[in-house]
Amino acid sequence: MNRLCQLLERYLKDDLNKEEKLLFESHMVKCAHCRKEVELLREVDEYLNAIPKVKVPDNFSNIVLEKIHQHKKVVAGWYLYGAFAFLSFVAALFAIAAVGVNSFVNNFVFLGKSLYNFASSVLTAVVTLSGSLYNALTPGKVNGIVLTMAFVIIFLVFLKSIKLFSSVER
Amino acid sequence: MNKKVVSIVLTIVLFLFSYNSFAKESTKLFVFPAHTVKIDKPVKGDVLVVGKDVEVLSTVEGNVSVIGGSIVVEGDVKGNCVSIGGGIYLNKGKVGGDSVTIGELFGKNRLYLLLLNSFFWMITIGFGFYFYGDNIKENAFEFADDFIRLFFFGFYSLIALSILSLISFALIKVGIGFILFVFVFLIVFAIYIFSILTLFYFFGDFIGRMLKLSFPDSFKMILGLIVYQSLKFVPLFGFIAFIILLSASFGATIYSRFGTFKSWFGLPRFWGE
Repeated sequence: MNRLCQLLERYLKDDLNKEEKLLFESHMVKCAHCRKEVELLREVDEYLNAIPKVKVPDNFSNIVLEKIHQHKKVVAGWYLYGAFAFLSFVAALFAIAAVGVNSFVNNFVFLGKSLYNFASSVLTAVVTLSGSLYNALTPGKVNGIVLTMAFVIIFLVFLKSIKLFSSVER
Repeated sequence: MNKKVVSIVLTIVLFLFSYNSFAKESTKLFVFPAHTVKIDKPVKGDVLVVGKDVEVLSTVEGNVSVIGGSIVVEGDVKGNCVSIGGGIYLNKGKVGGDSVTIGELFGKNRLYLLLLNSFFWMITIGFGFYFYGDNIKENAFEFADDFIRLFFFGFYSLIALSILSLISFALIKVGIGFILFVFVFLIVFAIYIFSILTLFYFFGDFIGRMLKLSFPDSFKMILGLIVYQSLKFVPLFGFIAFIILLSASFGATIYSRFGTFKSWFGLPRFWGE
């Protein structure tokens, strides 16, 4: 590589004095490598200039830092709850060890049974209550459809009122 | 797919699911009656009582349900007996279906209920205030800023949502109600939790301002929880105050869209833009 090739970078930046510039240009005629390099770098430069420039707000870095902070906070929160869950899991293991596996399983089965009983009684209650309420609300014949229509209409009116209320000028 | 086609198909499905053939049955409804309800004549359909006890002296062909009361069966009930917040007592009577009591234990032990409730709210404060602290603060400010207008709007939305949940609950019998009820329940639950957290922050902040002390935010929330729980011990006034505050807080939550102040359904907010 010629010593003149080292002027390439400064040539592109337009940082050479007159003599150096002439010297480099005459060098470029002979040196194919420099010619190619200059062409390539000029193309890159043009491409970069063609990208539209975005104006960043003054407090851009602050906004970015704030977002990073928020994200970190959320992640830390999940870690915190994860640690809490892990600790409770370990505590549960210790509790099982203390009580004995046999008695734990028995208790678990008992808990399952009572949960099942509770769920089935809730289901009975829901079905019975909803049936009674349904019959109370629908004395006519086209009942179900009328009730559904009433639901849809009230829901739509409610949505419309939210929409209007939350966009009122004060 | 086309939006119009989808909505038409959905509507047809909705109505198909809501069709039924139980038109002949009827319910005897008693809402907050003055005295204990006595069924001394045979009833063909169901009996539903809200807010008082019921004594069944005769035959009931359908189910007997009570919300906030007990059932005394001296006659014959062919269907189920359901009591929420009370007991079922068989006094020489007979029940053909299942007997279910829910919440009997809670109704008697007030302290237990209070502790359970406080535990629930502590966990909710932990989650809610950690992730949505700023939104709750914004909402609390909005709540205090425009109380009366938000109260009216919140009261209106409370009534609308109650009617919606009632209708969807009744529609569970025809199937479609289950989806509608879950849908309404989730909406109400989200707004309710956010509104109560807003109230907590407001109470805590208010006390801090009165005492001219600056508390940390989490302490404000705990203070708010204490005020909220102590409101329950004030007869009548506590309940009315709670309804008023909850309404306004509901309004604030809907108005500020959970403290974000973004627009609902893309409609522009004119102010502040």
